[in-house]
Amino acid sequence: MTLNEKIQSVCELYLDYLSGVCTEEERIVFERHLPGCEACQAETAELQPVWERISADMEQIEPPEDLKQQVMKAAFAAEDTTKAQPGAETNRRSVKLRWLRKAPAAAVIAMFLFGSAWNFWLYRERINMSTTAETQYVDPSQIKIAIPLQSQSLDDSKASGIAYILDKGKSKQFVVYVYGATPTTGDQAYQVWLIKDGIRSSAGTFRVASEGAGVGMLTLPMESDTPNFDRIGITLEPDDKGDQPRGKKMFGSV
Amino acid sequence: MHHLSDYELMLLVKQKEQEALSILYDRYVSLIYSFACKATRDEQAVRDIVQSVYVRLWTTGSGFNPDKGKFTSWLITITRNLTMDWLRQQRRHSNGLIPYLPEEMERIPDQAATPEVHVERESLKEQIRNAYRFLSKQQIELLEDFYWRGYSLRELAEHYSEPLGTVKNRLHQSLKILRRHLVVEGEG
Repeated sequence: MTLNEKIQSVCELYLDYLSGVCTEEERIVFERHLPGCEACQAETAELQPVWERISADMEQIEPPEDLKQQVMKAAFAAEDTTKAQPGAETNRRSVKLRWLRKAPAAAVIAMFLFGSAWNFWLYRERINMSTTAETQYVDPSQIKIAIPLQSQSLDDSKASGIAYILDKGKSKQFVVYVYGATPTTGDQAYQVWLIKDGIRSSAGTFRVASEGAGVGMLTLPMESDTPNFDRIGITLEPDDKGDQPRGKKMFGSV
Repeated sequence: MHHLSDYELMLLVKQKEQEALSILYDRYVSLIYSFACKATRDEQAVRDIVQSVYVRLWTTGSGFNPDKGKFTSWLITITRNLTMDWLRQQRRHSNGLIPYLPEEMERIPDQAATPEVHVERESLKEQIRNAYRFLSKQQIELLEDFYWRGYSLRELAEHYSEPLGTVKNRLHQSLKILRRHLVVEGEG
């Protein structure tokens, strides 16, 4: 893969967006990009309706009679399962790091979650365990607050990011996601700082893999309903052990 | 409740009105079932996919936004995602080699949908098939592999031994050709 292929511009996410193979975070990045990009708007207006029409090329087949009972029973039971398990374990407080890779990894996770493993998913939800997969599939209605992050580095002028708060009912998560960022090497890590009344505290670190599209992500559970910070900054640090910024500022909230 | 729009029914689903989900089942099950049949050719998988779609409507309730498009488009997107997940899982278990048997499932014509719905769907099918006539064999193959079989463009580039950019460009061109030969709603 050439360097050019690695660093895709947001516009190049278009086909992935249209066909739904992008990750939820890429979708958010693209939808944020869309209002400001006439070319992508024109493409969307032109090709979205075509994409939606392809499915019409199929034989209409009548489902078996007994299927309805099975499906309705499963749906209503799924609801009961989630209701019947109030107050499961609380989230672990540790900061979790994870990396998003491009579609193949996401696809593997996707089928794990939604393929034939729906019950497994419910189970995960119920015991409130954080998994890598959990953050890949975000129900847009769960996003409570989204904070755009701008690249502060000339080398990474195409990079962008977003921080958002996910309300998952019993739990809330704070997610920081960057796209098109310079990959980390060796011990290097991106560190997320939350600034409140001029005081800076570390929220955690993440790395960016050298393959893929420069995607990095930090997810952590939240206890309060509202974020306890005024601004967000992300620096590129020599390692993930610092408690004060030493490296260059790479992203900041707008 | 039968006179309610899809969106109104979805609002009721959000309030856990079981009858609303039942009506949405009757309205759209053949659409979902037919889609999954075409893509998987596996009856058990189709049943599971239909179930997953309705479980999802019931448990997440709020995802449909009428400002962003038609209910059927949204429903097809969900169905397609679940179907592609299943196909990719199959491929992972069989190291990428799955036989594709086009006529394996018995085809029973859909008679449950109202005649109007049936006619409308048949007409949409005719239109897309007519537009397909303007595509090359290679373009049709790409659309089938990408849209119906859930291969990523990267996988297809590898499979066809072509650069990713070439495959992306071909998909883009194919969609543009279809666009030229389809009457899009509101223009007709």
